Amino acid sequence: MSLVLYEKEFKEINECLNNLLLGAKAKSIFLVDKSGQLITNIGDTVSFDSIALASLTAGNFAATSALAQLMGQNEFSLLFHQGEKENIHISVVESRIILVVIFDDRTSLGLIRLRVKTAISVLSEIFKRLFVKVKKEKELIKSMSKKEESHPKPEMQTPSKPLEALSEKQDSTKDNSQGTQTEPEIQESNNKTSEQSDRFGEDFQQKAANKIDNLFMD
Amino acid sequence: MSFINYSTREINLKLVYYGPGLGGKTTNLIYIYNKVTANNKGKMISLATESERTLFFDFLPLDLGEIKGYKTRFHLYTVPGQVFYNASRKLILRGVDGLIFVADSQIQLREANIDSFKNMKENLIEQGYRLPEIPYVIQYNKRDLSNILTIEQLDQDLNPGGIKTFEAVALSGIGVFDTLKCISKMVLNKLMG
Repeated sequence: MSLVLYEKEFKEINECLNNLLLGAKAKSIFLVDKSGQLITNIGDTVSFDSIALASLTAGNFAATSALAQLMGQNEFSLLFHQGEKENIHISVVESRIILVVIFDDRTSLGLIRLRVKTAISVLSEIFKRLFVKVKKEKELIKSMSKKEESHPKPEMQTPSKPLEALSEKQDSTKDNSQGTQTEPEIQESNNKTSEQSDRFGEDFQQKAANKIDNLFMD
Repeated sequence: MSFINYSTREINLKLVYYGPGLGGKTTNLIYIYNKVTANNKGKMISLATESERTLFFDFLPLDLGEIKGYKTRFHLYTVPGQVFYNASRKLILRGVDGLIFVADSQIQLREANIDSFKNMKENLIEQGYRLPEIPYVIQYNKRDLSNILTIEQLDQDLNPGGIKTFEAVALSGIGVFDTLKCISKMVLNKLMG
């Protein structure tokens, strides 16, 4: 399953990480997906190769999780590597995201653990909401494609038509009972779908193919 | 697993080189690393044994640059080919977007190719994937050697479905970029739906 991030959640995530950075007096913080993709990083990120750090962290975490399973544990939810000057504290968020906190002797492991615990509960809420949002959007796109297959568009139909239909459909599926998605957010979600269908069309594929042909040359 | 960030306008995709031990997976990555311009590549990481056999994985990030305002990157991984590193292979497959199966064309490695391909399918299932649903290509490597299987024999063993294959000599770069170009486009096409 793809990991998709929107503006709103991305801002919330960074805000949470900033609070953690300041509250725990950490040096830098990285948020990494379990497959090794760097989601975001804050603090002193110049001293490290962020992309390599993300990949190695995911590898490290995956290997340790496999070890845990060998021992009959589901997962080690926390890893700590102590260095001479700098230390790494690694923990998991919502079983899918890895939170990496790098700190030195300006703070203590106890403070890091305390602040990380608070941050994880905030991040969990954000990611839970994000996963629901992405799932809903995918289902909408899927149902739209099915609808279009059964009722093909006239040739001259404008590109905005399916998106209008999508807006109507999405409004009707809005779940107010959860109280997590407000009207502007739904609108934002619709806009993203609109952008996605615009940006990720044939034009994008053609431009990507040209880049690939130019870059991957003997 | 593809990663799309609308806020920072980034797309990251994961490609994995799979295949039997000493088949040329790392050699593919080294060739790519040496040829791609510095602006378009990150640091190559090799977690290898002292005898330079892959222990966990090799990793090479490639930056395609901006496409319609989106920074697009491919993360290339290899798995350790040796049979007893199966636990590590499973982990590397996590979140894979596209696969390159690097087969060794030598006659004596026919069984190793078949076993590795079977192992790849089994490990994918364990990670919740099915091979036909993931973009993949096959590279028949070491075509410059004398004691090699014919393409027909290799197809019969590894490619009954008739997917795209490439003849390669990874050491000198023959077929390396053709393979990478093809799988990169397949993965992007799948992402765009």
